Amino acid sequence: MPDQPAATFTPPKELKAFQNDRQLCVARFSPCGNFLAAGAMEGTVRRWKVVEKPKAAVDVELPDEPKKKPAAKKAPEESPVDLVPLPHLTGFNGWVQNLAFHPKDKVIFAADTWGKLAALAYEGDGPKPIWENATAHDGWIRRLAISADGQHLATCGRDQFVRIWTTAGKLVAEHRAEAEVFAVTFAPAGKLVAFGDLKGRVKTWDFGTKQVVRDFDASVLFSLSRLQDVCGLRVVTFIDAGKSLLVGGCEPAGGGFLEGAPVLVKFDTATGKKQTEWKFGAAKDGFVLDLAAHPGGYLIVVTSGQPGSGKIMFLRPGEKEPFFTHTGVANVHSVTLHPDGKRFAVSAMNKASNGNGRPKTADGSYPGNTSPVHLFEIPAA
Amino acid sequence: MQLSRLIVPLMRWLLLAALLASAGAFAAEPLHRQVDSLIAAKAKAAKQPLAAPADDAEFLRRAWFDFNGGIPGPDETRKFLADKSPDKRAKLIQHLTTPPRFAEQLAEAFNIQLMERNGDSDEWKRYLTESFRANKPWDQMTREILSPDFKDEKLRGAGYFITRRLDKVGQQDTDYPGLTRDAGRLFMGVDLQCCQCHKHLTVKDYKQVDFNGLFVAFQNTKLQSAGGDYKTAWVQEGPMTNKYEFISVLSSVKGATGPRVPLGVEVPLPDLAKDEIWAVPPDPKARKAGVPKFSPLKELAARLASPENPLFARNIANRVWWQLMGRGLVEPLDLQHSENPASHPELLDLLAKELTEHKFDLQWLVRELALTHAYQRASLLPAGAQSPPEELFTVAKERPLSAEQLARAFLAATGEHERVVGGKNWESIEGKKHTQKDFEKAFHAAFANAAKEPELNVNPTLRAALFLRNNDLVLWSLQRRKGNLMDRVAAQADAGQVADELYLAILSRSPVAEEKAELAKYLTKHAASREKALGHYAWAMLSSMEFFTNH
Amino acid sequence: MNPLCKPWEHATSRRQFLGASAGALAFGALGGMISPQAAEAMRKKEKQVLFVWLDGGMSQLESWDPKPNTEFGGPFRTIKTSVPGTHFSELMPQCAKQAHRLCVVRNIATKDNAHSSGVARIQRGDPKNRGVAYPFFGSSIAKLMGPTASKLPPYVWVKPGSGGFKTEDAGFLGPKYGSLAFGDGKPPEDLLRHASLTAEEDEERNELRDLLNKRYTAQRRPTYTEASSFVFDTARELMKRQNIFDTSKLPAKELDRYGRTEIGQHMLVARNMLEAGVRFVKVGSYGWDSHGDNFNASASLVPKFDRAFAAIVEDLAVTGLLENTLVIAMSEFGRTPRINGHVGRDHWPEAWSIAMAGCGLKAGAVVGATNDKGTDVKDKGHDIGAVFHTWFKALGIDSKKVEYDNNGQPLPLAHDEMEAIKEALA
Repeated sequence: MPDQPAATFTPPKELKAFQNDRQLCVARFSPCGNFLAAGAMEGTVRRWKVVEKPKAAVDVELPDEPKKKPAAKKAPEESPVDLVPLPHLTGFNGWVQNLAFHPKDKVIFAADTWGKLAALAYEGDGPKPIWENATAHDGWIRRLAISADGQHLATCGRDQFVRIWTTAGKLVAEHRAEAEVFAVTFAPAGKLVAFGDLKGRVKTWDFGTKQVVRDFDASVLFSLSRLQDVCGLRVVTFIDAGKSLLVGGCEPAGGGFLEGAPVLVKFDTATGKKQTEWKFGAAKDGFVLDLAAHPGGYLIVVTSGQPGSGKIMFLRPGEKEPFFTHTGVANVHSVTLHPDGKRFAVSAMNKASNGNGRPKTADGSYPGNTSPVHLFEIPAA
Repeated sequence: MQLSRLIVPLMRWLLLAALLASAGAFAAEPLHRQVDSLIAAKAKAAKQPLAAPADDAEFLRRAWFDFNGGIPGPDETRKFLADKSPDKRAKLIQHLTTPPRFAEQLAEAFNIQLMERNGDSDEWKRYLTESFRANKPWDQMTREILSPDFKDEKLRGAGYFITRRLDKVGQQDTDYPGLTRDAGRLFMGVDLQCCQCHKHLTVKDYKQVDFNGLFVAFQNTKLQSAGGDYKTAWVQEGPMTNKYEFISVLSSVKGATGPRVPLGVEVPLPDLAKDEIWAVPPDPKARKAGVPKFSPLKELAARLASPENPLFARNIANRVWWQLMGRGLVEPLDLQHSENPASHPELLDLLAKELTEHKFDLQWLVRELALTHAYQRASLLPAGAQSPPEELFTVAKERPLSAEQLARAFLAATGEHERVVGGKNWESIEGKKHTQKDFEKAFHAAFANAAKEPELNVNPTLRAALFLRNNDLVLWSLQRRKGNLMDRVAAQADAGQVADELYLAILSRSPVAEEKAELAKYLTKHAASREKALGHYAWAMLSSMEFFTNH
Repeated sequence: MNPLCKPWEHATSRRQFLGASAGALAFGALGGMISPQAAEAMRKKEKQVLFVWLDGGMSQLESWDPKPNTEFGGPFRTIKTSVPGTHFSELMPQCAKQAHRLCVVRNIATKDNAHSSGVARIQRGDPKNRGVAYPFFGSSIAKLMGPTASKLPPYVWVKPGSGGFKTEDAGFLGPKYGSLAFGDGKPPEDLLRHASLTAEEDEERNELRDLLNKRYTAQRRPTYTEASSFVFDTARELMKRQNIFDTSKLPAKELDRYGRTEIGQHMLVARNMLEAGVRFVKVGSYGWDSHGDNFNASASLVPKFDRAFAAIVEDLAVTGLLENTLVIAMSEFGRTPRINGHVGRDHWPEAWSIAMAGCGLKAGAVVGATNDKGTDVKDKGHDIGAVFHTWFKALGIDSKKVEYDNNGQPLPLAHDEMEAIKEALA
């Protein structure tokens, strides 16, 4: 598969778009592959059971399914997989911005924009908070990561702090950055994390020694536009077993509409040297908001820009261009790979999500926007 | 309705004719004499004394500004002042009102008046200059401006009056109403703005149909960018087969009109069959718009700029009068109507009639007016007169100088004209080489009004005061530099000679004894830094009202 | 009748003001806690205006009218303010401390959702179409109230970008009622005394000019020379006070308090101008049109405004100027409750907020409300015409009686079918 030439690549197929009545910040598959969870732009975690459908699947009537059915795709082929909604996990405020599953235990960690960090059991019918910390940060927690060994959580936020917790909720270490912190991630092993701030300053930090190890210059992801500090940085992640560090986001052309091309920068972890910088598309295309590493040696990178524009790109870190780009989905905010490697899901947006003033609806209502979850299948090579 | 609006001036004319007839030989007198009789008669009736004639220096400066656009050099001033011949003023007028410089000056004045600082076009200015150089009749010019021939190399510049006004500004609608208003104001002296949506609330004569009759012809055009046969932006006229319908937002009364001269005749719409509409039919494949047989603009312009349209002649007569006297016989210039009579009704009638008979020869009118006592009066109030009413024209009114005139006069006065405009004498001069463009731009920014703001009166502004006080170019011109005014006066040891030089160069007159004494005293006080002090003195003169007005 | 500039009218109003201020209050009682300039303006008890314009549209939901934990409420928390029961967004901690001095109207409902027309419509008060361009509020006040006794220009605009004489605000009043704009907070070209001149030289050459003018005008009509003297005097006053316009000399401590940001600096310049007696100071800030990434944009923008605005309100209150200064902070509209795919908010004239303080207004008031989700005003909202009436009333101008005279055409000061917002007035 890694050597597969682009020409013979069979593009992934969208199985189904699962509608939702709210906008989502993030969606993640559980390590067991049986659940999908999403942080919503309300104080809930949405859950679905991933159900492989036998040939004649039962159509389940779902309480949260919005009245209007999604517009049928032109090939009304039955999806072999269904996402069956489960009751929401509640107790959060603002938005649930980020989620992380424990690699082994049936626990999900969620962080909201009011500063709460919580661990919850995600199986079963009701929310079961295992622990929660309502003041894990002062305000908006931007990102939540879990170490590969399941021992630690990393969080970062508007309060400029990066914090390391045990998965039991005990604060282990903290670091105050120079500005708001937008992304944090663990190295595959050891006590190294990487984080990136408002101004595009990325650092690796050892939470054992509590020392900053190295600086990475991703200031291409920042601009001061008039009064506005425009932060383009959204994603920091290690690849190649930690040898390289990827920083993703947007090269902002200005505030306001926030135009700018999606950018991904690859650094050498050891030296801090910039190795590759990808720019995907035009100013309207916006941000790289999330990415997932496929075991096949490529990355699934998703973007969201001006309302309606979004891309799902397959990119090999050694190549200049993505070998596959899908643009049929609006504003892709997150991507999650199913543990079987054959499917992935993205959370995105309904069409026509923007417009000045009050949209004209027949009943005079004021409908909000929604984030459908699009499920894709990656055909076997 | 139309008749009643024309009848008042007509009756006045009859009255005047009777008056003139009774005066016998009076009617045969040249226009400037008749003008002065009418002015004097009214002043006498109002018991207002006439100011003395302007002295030679004041007259010389005024005539130079009006007909040349700048100030005379010290030598020219000396020569004129020393000339003892009795007809030297008439000779000067004859000399100054001879093209090419006079044509350029007229073009500059009309550019400012017609465009009101809303945009700048070399092609348009060239058109005006060439037209005045050829002494083209004003009615012809008006027709060329209102119904432009965009394909004729010599005439297309005239189209800027329309195309500039139809330029899109931001996301605003194309300003057809603004063009309509300006055409009415500037060519007929009627501001119909308030009649777009209903009859005028304060002017009885102005009706909604008057606005819409002009509007319909302009709205029938579409601005096109240069390209193909067209070297400039141009307008495409559409076919017009129906009258334009409008409704009053006040009374809900409906009306309809074809193209129409405001307060005048309507152009009949031709009865053309569908296949007769086009002289050149449109070609959708080649994306070419057609040329209609019937051109509303052409028909309208022919009727508007015509001896048959009394307001046309009255407007231009009033505006030329304003140009030379600083105040219109009708004020405001663009509010001619039966309830706003001229200060001297017979005079305006006379000017309009004579101008029409002289086939709208503006240069003839300018020369006649320049010969009047009214033009040549002093700006000093006659003894005993506290505040004589301006509209009696018993005293010369101070008039504004345009940014162009000021820049020219400033460079001439400071002796930097040759260097800056001519690009000469820059050897061994350090620093930036200032150009004519630099000066024009700076003076324009400091003294020109905002776009669409007519420049009709002397208008001191904070902007201009700050410019004069602190601007680099101003102070640069007052530094001693080879051959300039400061160089000339610095070389003079005698305070009296310094005063002569400064006053002649800057104010185009000789200093009086008091002024000489003042300067001498000042120079004595600043003997240690004489050169700098001279600069300050010259600055004070250059920023004084005497320099900054046409008096 | 003449539509043209008559700048010498200023000369008249100047004389009137000098006359009117003869029996002014004694300054001694106030002690030394305020600056001489502040004292000067206060002594005159002259009304002034601070108008903060956040161009592009600040989100009401991330500022004055938060709806936490609702569908459109966004990610932010709310915080308590100095007025019990009133909450602002957490992005406004400083303004929260000044809430007892503010008057926030939360049920503004206007019409235009496009910038191109909205900016002008709102700042002109959106009167009924009369076929003329109405003046912006600053030009209107310059016309109706003129300069204060300080002789400083009545309408000054501190803004990012270019400066100079901006005439477009004045509408039919004519360009002299436009603003003197301080681009990037800096004085307009030629305002500062030329480097080659000492103050003494400048004074002396100006005296020479006065002398020449005096002789020239002795036997002529005085109008134009008077007007000229007036503008030269104004220029001199401005130049004399160049210290208040010099941003390089702003004290570090105050800069820190106002925020070392563009809006912080400009607000501090504005405070100095108000203290020096400028009648109407507009502070402009651009870049509020957060169609994309609204919440990060707000997290960056709102606190910068918060800090600067709270600081000036506090300073005006401490010096006593607030009592006679009408303070306004607003945009051309708010932002949509609906959050778009780019996590932004679009234009929203339907239900938004304006914050005010000071002269003639009820302090600590919250006027009107939006519904639970912030998608509509409760009861009847207030259009901008009503807001203009409120401002005029707060300044003691009866906008139902006073009219403009546009070449003989009487025009109302504000939309003649609307009324001042009574609940906002003291």
